[in-house]
Amino acid sequence: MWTLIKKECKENLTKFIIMFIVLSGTAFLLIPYGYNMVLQISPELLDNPAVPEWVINQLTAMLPNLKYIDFFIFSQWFGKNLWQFALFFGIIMSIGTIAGETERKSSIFLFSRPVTRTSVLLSKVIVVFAFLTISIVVPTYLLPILSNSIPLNINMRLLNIELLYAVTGTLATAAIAIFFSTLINDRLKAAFAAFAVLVITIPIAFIKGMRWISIVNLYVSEKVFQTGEIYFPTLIYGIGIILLSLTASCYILRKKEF
Amino acid sequence: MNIIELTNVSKSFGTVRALNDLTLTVPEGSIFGFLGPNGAGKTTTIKVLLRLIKKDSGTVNLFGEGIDINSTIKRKRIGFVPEEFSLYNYMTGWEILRFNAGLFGKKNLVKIDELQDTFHLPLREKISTYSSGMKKALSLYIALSTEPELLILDEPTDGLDPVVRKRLLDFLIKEVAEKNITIFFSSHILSEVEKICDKVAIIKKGKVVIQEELDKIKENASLITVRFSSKIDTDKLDAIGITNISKIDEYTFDLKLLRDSDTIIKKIEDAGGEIVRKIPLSFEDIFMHFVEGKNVDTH
Repeated sequence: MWTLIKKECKENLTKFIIMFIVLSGTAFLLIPYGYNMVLQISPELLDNPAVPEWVINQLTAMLPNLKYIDFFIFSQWFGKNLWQFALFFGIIMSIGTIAGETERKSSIFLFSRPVTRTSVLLSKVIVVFAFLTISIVVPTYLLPILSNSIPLNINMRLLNIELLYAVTGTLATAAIAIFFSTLINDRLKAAFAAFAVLVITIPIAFIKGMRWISIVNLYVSEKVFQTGEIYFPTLIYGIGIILLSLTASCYILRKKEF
Repeated sequence: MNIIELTNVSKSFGTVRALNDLTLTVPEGSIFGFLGPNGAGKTTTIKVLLRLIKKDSGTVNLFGEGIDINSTIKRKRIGFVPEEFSLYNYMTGWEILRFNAGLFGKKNLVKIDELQDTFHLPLREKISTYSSGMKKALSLYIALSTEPELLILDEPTDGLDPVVRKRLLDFLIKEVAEKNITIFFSSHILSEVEKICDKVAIIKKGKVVIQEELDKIKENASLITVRFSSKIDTDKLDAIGITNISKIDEYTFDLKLLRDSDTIIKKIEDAGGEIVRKIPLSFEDIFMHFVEGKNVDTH
């Protein structure tokens, strides 16, 4: 198993470094620069006749909340920057797990070795999940460090809970991508299928009573922000997606012919 | 003991029947030639043995027990050189050898120095810089570096130049002599099989058409010319099981003998025929007969 994990680390290292740099860089830009930009929006702007009315309406609605650092991080980091990048990288890092081996025909070499298919999949999942988690957790904890320069105190309990949701959402995205990577032998087609599932569920989530269906809602749970407590149904849903996708992947891989 | 035993194994891909009640036994310590034209089912058979694909029916035994029993442990005893596969191009030759050894739970690589004396591969360079022949040789390093008891080679000499090809075959002969390993050698290059194998099976459309010791096959195979003192009565010949004759004239015919030649010759003599000419068949003629069913070239 350790041999397989080392190989996976080597294969995914470049993607991990890119993801880590992109998310850390975004964190550096968000605080203090992004936050300061919000602060610098002058109230006089709202009285400027050159500014269209719809922009004034939007700003009026947003400004009081945006200046509140916890809401700023909730809406801008978890609700915008992090989920967009994490969703993208979650798929990119996971899509080659099995489809990559099949596409480059290394699957014949790998699966004829004395290792079980489950351990091959498990080693890949461990590495992808570990890299994704580090890429999310470290930049997120940069935020409170950087916020000292403003200076403003971030509600760490809220941040930790939101982070738990973001990690679950990203791993659920990755698990869905791993499922398609096992099911479809072509990386591009598998990536397209994973993106399609995630994109289709976004508008469906706007239908009353269907909000749970979108993975995106795992990244930004309004209930968590409003109450400051863990909202278990959403979390269990995310963990359920991970377990279901990985179990299905394992089943397909064990039946798969190379 | 038989290292490999396949009994009535069938496998279909959609409507294509790749293996059709295939039965095969490979004795321990032999170099077993597995011959057949492209698409005959050679690679499919190997993939079934390695559990890369699942058989539809039949039984497969490896090392005396079913392939599904202790399959991971069994694969530790097998070295495999596939016909077509890719290694990890970002690794160097040494890295892939160490990676493979790790998967086999081995810390030390064996045979590498000996193989290097023969093939001289640049093991410190990335696999992406290797030619297809070098990759093939590297896959042989991988297969032999874990001291297998059974070596499965699927078209191992494809892409190799004649010099390396000869070295490889000599190396395999030496390996069997020294280590008593069993080699399952799948190929469509008859001269190679003839050179190194002691037992062969010929497969056609997913079915084994002959399986015998190579010497015995060659010994039994001949083209005979039979002359009768009276006109040939084909019905009489049919009745005693002599078929597929090529008539030369009313009194003489040619007949290819591939199996049970002594029995057939006795039947002919009992029916009043006289063997006037007997020409041994080449291995290529024998192969063509089983695979293509073509007339044997007697020249």
